[in-house]
Amino acid sequence: MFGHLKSSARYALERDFSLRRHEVWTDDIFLVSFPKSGNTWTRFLLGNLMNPDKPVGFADIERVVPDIAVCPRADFRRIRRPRLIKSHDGFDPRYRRVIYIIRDPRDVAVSLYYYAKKVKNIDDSFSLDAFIKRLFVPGRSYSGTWGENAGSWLVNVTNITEFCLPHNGVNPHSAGFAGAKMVAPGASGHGRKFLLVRYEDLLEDAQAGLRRIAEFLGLEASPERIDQAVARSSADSMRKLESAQNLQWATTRETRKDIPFVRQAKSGQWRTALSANSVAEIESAWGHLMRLTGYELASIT
Amino acid sequence: MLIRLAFLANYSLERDIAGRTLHKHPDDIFVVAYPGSGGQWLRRLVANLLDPSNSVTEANVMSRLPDLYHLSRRGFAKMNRPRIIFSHECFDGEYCKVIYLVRDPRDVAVALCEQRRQGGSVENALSLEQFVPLFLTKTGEYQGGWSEEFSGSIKANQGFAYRSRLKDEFLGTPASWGENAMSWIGARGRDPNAMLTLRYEDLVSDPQAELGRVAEFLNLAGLNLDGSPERIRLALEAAKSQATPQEPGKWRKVLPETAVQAIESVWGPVMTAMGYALQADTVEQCR
Repeated sequence: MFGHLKSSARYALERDFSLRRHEVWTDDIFLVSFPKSGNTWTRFLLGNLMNPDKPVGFADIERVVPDIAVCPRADFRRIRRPRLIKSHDGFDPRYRRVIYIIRDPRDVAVSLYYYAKKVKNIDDSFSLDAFIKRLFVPGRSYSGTWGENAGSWLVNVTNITEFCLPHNGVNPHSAGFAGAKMVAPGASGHGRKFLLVRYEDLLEDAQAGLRRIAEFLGLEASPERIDQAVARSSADSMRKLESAQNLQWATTRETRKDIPFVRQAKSGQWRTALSANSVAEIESAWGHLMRLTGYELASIT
Repeated sequence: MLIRLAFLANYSLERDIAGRTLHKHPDDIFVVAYPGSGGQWLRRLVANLLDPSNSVTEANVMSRLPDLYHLSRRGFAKMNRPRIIFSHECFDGEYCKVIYLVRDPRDVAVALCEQRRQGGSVENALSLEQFVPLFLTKTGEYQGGWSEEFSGSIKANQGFAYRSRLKDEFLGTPASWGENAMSWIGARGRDPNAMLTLRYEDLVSDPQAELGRVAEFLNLAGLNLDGSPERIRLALEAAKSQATPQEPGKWRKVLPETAVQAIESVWGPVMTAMGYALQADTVEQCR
């Protein structure tokens, strides 16, 4: 009963979280990804690019680039438009401007494993293999699996056959479509502006990646400002900010402090961390998506 | 202000319509179809399958297999689990088990236009040729708005209704035919354990076999149904009095050439992937 009153009061004061109840405007810009795919880093990069006067930290990131699942509705609606919003949602037709960040799911698995420990979803004795087999590949605890999240956003008319199994005797691969021109993966139908960003590309050349995002958003960005934003969002500076401000950030406040939120900020960790079985497990579930986004498969399928 | 308070009171009592804010359980099963795809027919077939001795009626379909848009959060909370729920939504990762019904969009155009004319949301004078670019191949232009705006009507045992302008914002958004289908196929097309894809056309031509697949899927999803051919036949028999499916291919007779082209040029590859032959291809072959 008390919980009930509390939730009603929260709702009346609009202190409840937006989630699927949020209202969306056509000029909203969404920074979307599956968890542990470089979304926070990209938030910092963009936050610093757009606010050159003062470096962004974990204490104010929710104000600069609010998380749709963390920001109370009342605050969410007061943000100046166009709003830049972080989200882990699967496809939502109302999002008209989307930057989708994708990361090699094998690295996502490693990162998410440590994160699950950090937020106490699993304890230290839970093995990485078990995590991948039981929670990562089939699990829908982050509103869909990695493959569902990415697939729902990356499918379009030029790549739809990649996502189909032959059914009812109909083999989708047998029928061609003459008029189709290959375009980049992404739900860009009906005039939706869609930009696919690979975390690995961003790691390799953050300046070029940020410039590309700035162009997509129509932001004026001098090379100096890009350099400054990249420097202020480096893994080192984010680690320092995390240890100073982890109690001021809702995402890390009640988590284990012995496991950092900002971890290695590298790619290819799976090569040493994952067993061959786990790699095969991931690749057999989502090989079609990995091929589509340029991640080379290691197992023979 | 008054209406806001009224909504708040309803919210506290969980009398607001669930819509996209429905609290989902991992054992929920969703029957999803784009509007105009024969979803209501499938919904009644499935409802009959659940209890063939007591066939579904307009009065009890809401309690047996409710849809997201006409039942309150409280109504959903009180349902026995596992629940089976009807929805028009695009991909939602919290829908763990989904039966997705797809239909040739050229027939969807015809059916949807008829539905809208009957419902009064489009004028009778609006031709199919005008309907397709206005309502089918275009996704809604969402302007945004406050979720709390709603009309004050409460239907008995159902819930608080919203103003239609904001229904999309709050209750849900089926988007366009192509976006709806692609979002589900993109997410689950290769995962037959999580999603059973049915084609309306197959359901019409061999309902016994297709409904058998439905029963099998429901059983794998945790239901304990008798999926015998006899029971399926009974369910089909019971549904006959409630809904007669439209014969596939009506578009060939009534849909103007420009409308066919408009649909095929936007979603041709999706249609091909679903096994619908394009008129553009047929014309090509004849030459």
